[in-house]
Amino acid sequence: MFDYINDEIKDKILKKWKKMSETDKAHFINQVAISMSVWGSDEKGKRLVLEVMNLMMSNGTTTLADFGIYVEKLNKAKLSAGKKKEIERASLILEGYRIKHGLSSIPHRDITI
Amino acid sequence: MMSQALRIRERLGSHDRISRGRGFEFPPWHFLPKQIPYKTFLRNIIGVNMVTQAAVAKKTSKKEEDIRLRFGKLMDFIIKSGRTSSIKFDSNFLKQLHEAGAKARESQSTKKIPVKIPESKYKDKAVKAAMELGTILENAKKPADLNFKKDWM
Repeated sequence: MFDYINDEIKDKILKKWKKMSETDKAHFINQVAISMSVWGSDEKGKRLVLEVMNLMMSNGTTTLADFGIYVEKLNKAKLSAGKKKEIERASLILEGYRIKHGLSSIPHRDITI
Repeated sequence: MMSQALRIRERLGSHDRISRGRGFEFPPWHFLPKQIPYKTFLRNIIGVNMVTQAAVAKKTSKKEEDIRLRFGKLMDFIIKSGRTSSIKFDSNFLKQLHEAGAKARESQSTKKIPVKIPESKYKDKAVKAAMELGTILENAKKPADLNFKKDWM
C-alpha cells in the first residue's frame, strides 16, 4: 500500500528512533501532541506531522526531538494550504516549549571536523 | 516569527560570524581549536549551557562535579575579565560538558517532562494520536513495519 513517506525516509526515521534517548522520545511525542492540538488530529493534521518528519530526515537531523524546529519550515510546503495560521501558532508554542526545556534552537546534525 | 537563534543573533550585534554569512551550527566544536571571537564564544556557551544545564545543576558523580566547577570557573573568568577579544577553547572540556549534559538528561525520568497541551477541541485526540505514533515507532523493527497510512491515519 502506498504510504506518505518513502522507504528510504522510513529507514532513517527508524534508525534515529532506535538511537534516541527516552527523554528525547518523550520530547518528540510532546511536541507532536502540542502541534496536533493546534492544527488538528484529523488526516490532514497527521499528514502535516509526517511532512515535518520527512523534512527532518531530508535535512539530516540526528534526533526526532528536533521536531519543533522544523514545524516553522512547514509553511513552505504545499500541504500547509489553509493551515498557515495554525502552523504559525504551533511553531510559537513549540518554541516556548523548547526554551522551557533547554532544547536547542538549531537542528542536531553530524558535523565533520 | 523570529526564532530563538535569530533573537540571539540580533542581540549579539552585527560583528560576529553569523552576520557575515559564515553560519553557525550547534554543537560548536567545529570552531576548535582556533581562537574565536568573544561574541561567538558567548553564543556557543548559550547553546552548550542549554544542553548541559542538567549537568551543571545536579551533581551525580565526582567527575561531573569537576566539570561543573570548571564550567563555573570559566564563566567567572569571562565575567570578571569582560574581554571582547578572544578566548581559547578546550575541545575536550566542551565534549565532556556535552556528554555530561546528555547523561544527566538521560537519567531524568520521562515522567518528569511536564507538558502543557493548549486547550482546544483537538486536545484529547491529539495526545492520543501522538502516543500512538510513539508506539508505532517503538514497535517497528524494520522500515516495512512503518505503515502510517494503514496504522495511524
